[in-house]
Amino acid sequence: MNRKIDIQEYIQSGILEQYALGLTTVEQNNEIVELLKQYPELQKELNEIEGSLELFAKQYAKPMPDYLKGRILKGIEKEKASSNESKGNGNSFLNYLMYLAIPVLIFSVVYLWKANKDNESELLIQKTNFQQLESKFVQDSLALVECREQVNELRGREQNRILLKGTPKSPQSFAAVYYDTIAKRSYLDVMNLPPVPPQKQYQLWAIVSGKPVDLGVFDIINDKKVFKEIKFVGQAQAFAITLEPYGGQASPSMDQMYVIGGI
Amino acid sequence: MAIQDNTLSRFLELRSKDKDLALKFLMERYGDSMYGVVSRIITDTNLADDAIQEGFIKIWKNISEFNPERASLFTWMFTIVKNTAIDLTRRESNRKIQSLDSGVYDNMSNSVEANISDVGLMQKVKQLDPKYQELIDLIYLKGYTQQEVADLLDLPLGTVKTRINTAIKMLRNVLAGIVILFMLLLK
Repeated sequence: MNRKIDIQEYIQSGILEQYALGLTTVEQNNEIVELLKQYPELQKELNEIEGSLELFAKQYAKPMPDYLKGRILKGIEKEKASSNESKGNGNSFLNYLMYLAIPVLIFSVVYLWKANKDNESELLIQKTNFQQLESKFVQDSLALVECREQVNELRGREQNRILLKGTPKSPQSFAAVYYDTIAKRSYLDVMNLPPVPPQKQYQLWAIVSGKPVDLGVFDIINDKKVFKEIKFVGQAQAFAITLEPYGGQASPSMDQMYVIGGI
Repeated sequence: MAIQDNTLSRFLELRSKDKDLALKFLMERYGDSMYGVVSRIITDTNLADDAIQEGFIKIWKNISEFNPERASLFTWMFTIVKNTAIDLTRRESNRKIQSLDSGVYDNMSNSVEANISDVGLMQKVKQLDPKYQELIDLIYLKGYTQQEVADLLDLPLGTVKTRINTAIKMLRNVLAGIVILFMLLLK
């Protein structure tokens, strides 16, 4: 049942702070959960309270030692093993069959173990490789998240973003260069360029003191967008992209300019 | 609004494929924060290690229970790990503290996640008046009740409640700084 409350009064009462700290009673919790569904303002308020508490908790962050990570993973393996064991205890007939099968199983395992020593060591190598790959996958996932965050951050910085708009040759084309003069880094963000014809490549140019400076060629694979760090040049006045013979040219083909944008 | 939507989406993606990988991801992403909090609650290194291990195993067991509509990843993990540490301390010392087991999951909701890599912002948190730091420390991290804190610090219960609200407001001001920065970046 919906209950009407004075939002400001409710917020001022401090009950949400108490709730976030886990100091409210079960009855109060139930009431708050219902109110949160009804009033987005309360949810927003609570989000901010929880956010501030997270901030507080994170001030104490310290590196978790590797041995502890190893212990956690071993603990999980044990949990899995005991879970499998308890599943196996559910049916007495099946258990009976299992006991009968144990000697056969042991014999088979010993036989196979003897016959496949080489395979076993190969398996160990594969297992190690797999663990390394798995670990790399997790690291890459983290790196990917960080990259995405960096990209979002860069894309959000309008003050450093130079829009390269399509020329009459290709009005739909569109790209941007993120030009960070403080960190002395720059990135190319291609959002729309026509597919590259065979034996051709796009080439990026910076205009410095009125002269084009080659910033390298790049490919657009499978029509996908491009986001990459590019060579930083100081004092750039503009950036442009032209379509050039594969490998690029020393100077741009002006009639093949697809996008251009000034600072 | 969630600053770390990417973390959440990556976690959900991993969880849908392999919960072990999802756990490892969480361990890498939030392990340091959790380890820091537990070390704050439990000074004995061995016991703190046990609490972290037990807490992460609980996270692994309940990983499919996490619902992003009800809690942020951090809040969800923090509640499990913190309660595990408090319970372990209680088991060890029989110290009378409030049980936080009931309603753990009901007590969660979305929260603003802040990426606290910025040392400057952390410094601001650390500059919080020690009397407020201590209060949040005792209640939020160590699970003391308000009455226990009032007794411990020899303060009236009403003062404890007022100070908690003031402390959270101060923290929110620091967080607001992050959010404004984020909003400026998005402009």
